[in-house]
Amino acid sequence: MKALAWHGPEDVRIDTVPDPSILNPRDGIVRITSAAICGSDLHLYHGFVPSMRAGDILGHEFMGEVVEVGSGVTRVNVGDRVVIPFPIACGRCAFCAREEWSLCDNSNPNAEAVEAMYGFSAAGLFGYSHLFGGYAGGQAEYVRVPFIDVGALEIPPDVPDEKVIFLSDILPTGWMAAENCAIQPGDSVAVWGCGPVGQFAIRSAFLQGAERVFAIDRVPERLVMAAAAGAEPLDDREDVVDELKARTAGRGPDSCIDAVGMEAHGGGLAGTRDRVMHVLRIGTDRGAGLRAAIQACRKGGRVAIAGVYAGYLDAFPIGAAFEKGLTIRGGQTPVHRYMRPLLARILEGEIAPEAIITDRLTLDEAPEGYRRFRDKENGCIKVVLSPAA
Amino acid sequence: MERPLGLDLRPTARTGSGAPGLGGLILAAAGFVLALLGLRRGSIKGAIMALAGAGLAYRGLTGMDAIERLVDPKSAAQPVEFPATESTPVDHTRTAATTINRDREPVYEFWRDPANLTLLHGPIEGITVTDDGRQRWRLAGAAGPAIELDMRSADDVPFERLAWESVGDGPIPMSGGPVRILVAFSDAPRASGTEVRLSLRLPGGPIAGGLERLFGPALEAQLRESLRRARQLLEVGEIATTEGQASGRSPGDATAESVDDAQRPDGPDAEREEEGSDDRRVAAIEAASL
Repeated sequence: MKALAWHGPEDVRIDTVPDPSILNPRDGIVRITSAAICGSDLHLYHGFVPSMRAGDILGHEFMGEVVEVGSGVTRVNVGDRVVIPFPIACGRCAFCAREEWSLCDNSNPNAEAVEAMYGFSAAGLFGYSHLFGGYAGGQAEYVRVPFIDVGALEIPPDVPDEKVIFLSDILPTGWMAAENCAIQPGDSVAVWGCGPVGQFAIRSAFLQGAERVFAIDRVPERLVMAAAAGAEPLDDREDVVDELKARTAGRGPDSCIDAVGMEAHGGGLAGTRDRVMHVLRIGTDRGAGLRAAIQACRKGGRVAIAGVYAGYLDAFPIGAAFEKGLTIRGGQTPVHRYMRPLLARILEGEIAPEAIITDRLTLDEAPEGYRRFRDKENGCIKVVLSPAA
Repeated sequence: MERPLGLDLRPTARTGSGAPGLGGLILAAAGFVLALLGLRRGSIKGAIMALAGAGLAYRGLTGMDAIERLVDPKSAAQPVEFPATESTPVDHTRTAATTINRDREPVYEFWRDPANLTLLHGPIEGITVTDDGRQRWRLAGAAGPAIELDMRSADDVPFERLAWESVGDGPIPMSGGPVRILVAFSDAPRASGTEVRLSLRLPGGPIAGGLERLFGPALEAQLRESLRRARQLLEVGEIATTEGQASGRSPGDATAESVDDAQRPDGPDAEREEEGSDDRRVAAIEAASL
């Protein structure tokens, strides 16, 4: 089959590789009909996530048709049309039992290395480096899905791929970011980063009762898309903290969402130090979005982290967070928990996830898709690949 | 004139109390890294790396040459001892623990079956039951080649604990007593499963003790991996794996082979073969236990 493989920083290629096969009884094989490129794939693309190996197949946002199942699969059938969540969950450990699917105890074969880094290992992830299991991803014609009974969400035949593919990651991720803000009617929410996750966080915040949402970015097309959803756009090169204070009559936003993560473009001394440490591989994470979110948030407010962080962050404003009594929440999204209720909202027309798609490409064009997404070329916000095309 | 110790980078330099100096510690650290890299490779070259690393670490920590020590009966007669301080205990027991989301009964029954223990990829590589009912255990050497020992059941309290210990001498002189493996079960809080504590006691004596000290961390990692696999088999019925999956490194795409790949512990083909047979055993277990 054809698959998009990582071969080094900014070097991804379409390789011809063997088709995946059932390796464990609860596996299934899915023929991919749509796969998206995620902002977190850019962290891999740039080479900032450790433990990548040349030849790794990328992609954790995908859907398709089940073509084979192992002997231990009972719920999913060959021929089902399914969306697959990006975290791999066994469904039977203590964490899965509490619906903390992204913290699954049993799905990362490389748990020992992660325990050394983080104390404990969370779930294995598709196409996201060997630290998270080294599972082959879905930017390919076929993919092997472990524990397919646990994750697969069946999609009615008349619903097009574009409306549901983002249930695999970014729609639940944006929704959870807003949920972590515990929004009360009338609240204001500020969102750093208006990429795909930020766009869904903005829409989710309104659906969850926010009265005002401030959208912070520096890419004009992204601010336009945020404004179309009803958010108030702010250029992050201005003094955003002051501006937010002014717009909320001195209170500050009730909640702040960091939808940027570890590759934030920060200014000032802290931003420069981040870039130096990042390039020298001394620190892994740059955190301008998170720092500003903590600084801008009102006293007693909530900060939700949706952007990905992998390692260490320098100059973390713990003093501001502590003195203002902030609540900070984040983590990889337990996608399984959100797929069904969000599918219902899509079918009822409350959310139109396909609105963020700007670039539709074939699988062969995937390397070009990565480049366009990196350069935000011609307003590129979200790339969806069609391996069957 | 004696130099201040902090600046003396000779690996043989000692502090006043006989502890290694900075040079010794650097050498020891380098040795550990080399040894661990060697162990990860798992090949003959890896074994040589591991041994060389162990030798360096030994020299760094003791200020003595391991080979010189082995061939010099006078120095070998003295046990390798750190200066007695609280930070260097002489206990040779290594332990690991996990919580498994199943009741005590199936967890205990799982550990009673020798066929299961060999699936755990920890120190126990294989178990053969001999005609007279004794068990011959093949223990993977974290410190080198595997050793075979006759083991007998030393304790069996249903749903509480199981223990095995070696009978007689193996290839290593065991002046400190038998190799002993203990697994203990207790209820986790809030009826959330079973706490499992696994410990491996290695015999004392100068050689085994020295090896244990050098490779203890790797041994603990092995014990943790065993517990993870036991948890996966008991909770899920299969062991998470990616071995044998497609990648741009696969034999079908020779052009994609990379430097990274050459540094992997085992070739992809070797892994695929080994895991294939393992998976069949796992599937058999699942059929039997779930």
